[in-house]
Amino acid sequence: MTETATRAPEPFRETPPQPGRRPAWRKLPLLELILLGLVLAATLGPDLPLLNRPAVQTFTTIFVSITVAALPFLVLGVSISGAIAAFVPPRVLERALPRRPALAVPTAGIAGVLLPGCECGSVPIAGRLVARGTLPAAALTFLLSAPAINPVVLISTAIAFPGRPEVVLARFLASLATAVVVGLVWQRFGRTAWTASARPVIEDGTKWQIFRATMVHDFMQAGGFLVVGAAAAATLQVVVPRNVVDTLAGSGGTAIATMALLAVILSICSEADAFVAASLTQFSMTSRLVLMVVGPAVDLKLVAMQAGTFGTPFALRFAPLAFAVAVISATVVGMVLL
Amino acid sequence: MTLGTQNMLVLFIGLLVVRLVLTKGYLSYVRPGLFLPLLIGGALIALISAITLWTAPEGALRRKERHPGHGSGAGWLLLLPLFALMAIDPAPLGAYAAGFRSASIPIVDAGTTFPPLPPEERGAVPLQVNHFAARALFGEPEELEDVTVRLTGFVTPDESVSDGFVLTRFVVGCCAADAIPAQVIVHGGGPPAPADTWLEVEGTWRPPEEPIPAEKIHLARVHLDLLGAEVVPQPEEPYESAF
Repeated sequence: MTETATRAPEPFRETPPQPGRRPAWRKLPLLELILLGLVLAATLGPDLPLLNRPAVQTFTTIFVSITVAALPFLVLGVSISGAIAAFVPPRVLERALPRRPALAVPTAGIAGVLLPGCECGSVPIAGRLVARGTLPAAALTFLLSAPAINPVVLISTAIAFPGRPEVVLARFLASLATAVVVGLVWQRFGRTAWTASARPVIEDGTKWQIFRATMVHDFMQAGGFLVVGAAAAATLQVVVPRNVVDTLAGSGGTAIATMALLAVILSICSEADAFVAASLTQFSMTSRLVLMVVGPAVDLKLVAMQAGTFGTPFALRFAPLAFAVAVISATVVGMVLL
Repeated sequence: MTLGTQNMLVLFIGLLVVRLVLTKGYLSYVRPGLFLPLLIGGALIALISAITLWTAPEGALRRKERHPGHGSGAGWLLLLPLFALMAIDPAPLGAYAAGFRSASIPIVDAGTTFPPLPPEERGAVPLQVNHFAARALFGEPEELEDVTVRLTGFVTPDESVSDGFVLTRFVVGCCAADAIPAQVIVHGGGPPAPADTWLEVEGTWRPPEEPIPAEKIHLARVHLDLLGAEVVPQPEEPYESAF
């Protein structure tokens, strides 16, 4: 670990360093204050009337449940991202993918089958791949395909729709198509500057030091933004009652738009979304496929995590692109297969 | 954030998750199947940060991150769920959430075949609320005729039910964010217990007065004639799993 004085000029820095001029609040013993706050929260929290309200309790349960359910997948993801940074030489990654982008992107899409789990784990992995010099379009294709087409998700889809293997096939094809098309579009129109904020944490030190530093760094970063997304999703779940969809029904464009928006708002883990899609029988099968294809690609917690890893300019372009492609791809595949 | 703070925070998160698993608090948030992934994930991330804190060279822990500015403050947000976990005792979704959740039963796809009813215990057949409802709506309801079943759920206020109450149990696929309420209307008994009271009810299935049209099936609720009810503590696993 070198001293920070050797830092190269960084065009993406948001706040210039101000040596010797720390704001007054920065001088507070922050860690001690936090620990004090945690102790106070643990002792007083259960007696505060505000925290006992059913709405607050429901919000907290949903909010905490999203972050808790994501933790194992996040740890798996940052273990892999740490290993990529520490143990995999860039040359190996280079050889793993075909040189031509037109081939590299679909290969990365198929490689998504290899990562079991849900979407929270794939964001730090994609960030680390880009930092190690992988073609951004290929890394982003992997980011989209891994949470959608891995065996765990496909099996849970098969369980949610027993006796209907065509639903599993449709999900696989529509999600893979989404990932590859978004990758190819990004290859054609994307700029390197949009993904440039994915950078190595440390370059020197032993391999194990790099592994641990990258792992903890990525955990904090992806986890911090996951918290933002989970809070937004939990708020919307409490404020916009889900039973508004009970009165809506049908097929066609309205159903597709409803399901696409629901996928973004609910922020359900890709392992469990098939189960929710199966329960929404009042909607057409194609629109429920849209829910399952949009969810793992674009939802509130994912957009927050992507903004954290690649920066806001990236997320502002990537999320709408992935959303549009996912809706179109699921609609087309659904009309043909379901 | 210095490297020391960062690793302290991660260590704390890991240990808190391990505690949440070992005290069974996690069952209020996620499906029981996540026991091992959570335990391993929490322990691993705690171990990694503990090693860094233990072995870091002199002064390294007080050093700031290399790339401040970009997303480096986000880690502080991890304190929010920590505060929530400390300040609020783990509680599963209850009657309030049941009031605005969609669907009154997780729909079982037409291809499902139901296993035979489990054997009677203490004079009644124990069934999960969602399995009872699914058998009545999508299985062969004849098998439920004249069978005394025992269901466990919590009382949910519902003004449309005049001669009884609604018994709810949430069904969870992964975490509470995807929970779907399974509900049964229980007829009989005196004034219902307050909302969120956990009850073990025994009763018999009441066939619907008229057949339920397919387009309304997602709003259909199964009826039960009450034979007896008993207040019970909240089950260790507050959520059910679907077929």
